Amino acid sequence: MHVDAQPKVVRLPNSCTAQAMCMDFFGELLSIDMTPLAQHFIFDFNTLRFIKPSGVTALANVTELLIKSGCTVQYRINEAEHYNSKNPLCFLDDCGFFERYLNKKVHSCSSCRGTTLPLKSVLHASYNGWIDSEVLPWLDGRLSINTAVQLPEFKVCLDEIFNNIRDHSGREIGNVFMQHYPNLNIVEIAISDFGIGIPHNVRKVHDAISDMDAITAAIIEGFSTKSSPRNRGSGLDTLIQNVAMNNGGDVTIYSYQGCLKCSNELGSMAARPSEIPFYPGTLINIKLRTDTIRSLEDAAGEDFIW
Amino acid sequence: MVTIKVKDHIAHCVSNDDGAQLFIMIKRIVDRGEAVTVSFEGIYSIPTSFVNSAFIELLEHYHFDRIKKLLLFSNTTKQINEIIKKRFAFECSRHRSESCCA
Repeated sequence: MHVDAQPKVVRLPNSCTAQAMCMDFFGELLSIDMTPLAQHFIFDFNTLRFIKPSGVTALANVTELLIKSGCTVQYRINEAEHYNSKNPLCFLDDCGFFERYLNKKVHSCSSCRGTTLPLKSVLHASYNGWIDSEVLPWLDGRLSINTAVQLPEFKVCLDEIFNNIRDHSGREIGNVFMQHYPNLNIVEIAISDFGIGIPHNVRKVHDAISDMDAITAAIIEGFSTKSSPRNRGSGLDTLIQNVAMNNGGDVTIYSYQGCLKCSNELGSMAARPSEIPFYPGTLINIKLRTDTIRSLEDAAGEDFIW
Repeated sequence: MVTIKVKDHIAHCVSNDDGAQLFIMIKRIVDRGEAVTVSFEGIYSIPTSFVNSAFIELLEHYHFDRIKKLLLFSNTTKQINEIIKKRFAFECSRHRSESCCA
């Protein structure tokens, strides 16, 4: 394989989502076996026009993956531009993205927006503290509710995903970014790891299955790769049932060359698999509806009857 | 009847390890033939890993009829009720051929 010795300039997609980055961006950086295609990369942010939560998380993920692989990553950004909140570069600055990877803000006036929870690498060991001290208070404030009580799907989703990362990815860490879209009544959550991926895990028990079919198999209740004796193959199924059927939102899973979008269509769960060129690791993007919040009275406990 | 208030014993109800702590407490009581009520006061949702390790693991030791008789829950929410019943229903149907469940 040819590995460029010269710095390789790679332009960000205009509309930076995980889907768009899968189409050509990641293929410019890594081979399908995750080998970097150069030693030194320059990400050109000047092409960027729009960025979604999945793009923020995917960009963080691939930056860390390349650095972990021994590469250097530089960002080409136009620092001369004045701060403009509509500029996606300023949005990334406000997310804490540049402070995290360049150790400085691009604009000194940038600050975290109320609609977003700053980009974060969350270790499994610090997960509970992060949820209790940062995530739930943020959404409580955004929605003026007690999130744990009135939107229980939110915490369960995060619990399921982080348990999944720890149990299956071979990683103890996940990059997370969240954004509230008040006009759309949606909270979007993007969580990514650069672990071994769902298809690789599924092929431990199912030979010669495509990445797309592997992800489709992984969401079926009871399907387990038994990566630990306690796994029973119910986490992804529960995640999707919670989001799609209980909340009316949707879940999209990207892992290597497979993608699966699950949503509620006319009361039934619709799972739409597709092949994608390449996502290095696994990204789960969740859109939770905030117009399905229960009142405190409706959210009150109910008796358990076997 | 013994009541275990989960929050008094376990800081978080999230992981397999959290569930395994509760499992040990429950099994100790059920082994004596006593009934146990698990109170989820102050807890509003639980994920599958916790349910599997705390409760589903009991199917490895007891028939489902005995579990239903000796294991009760209080101060639950709709999400907690649904996930416990869904997980037991699935695991019982999976193991029905081994006649672990009624």
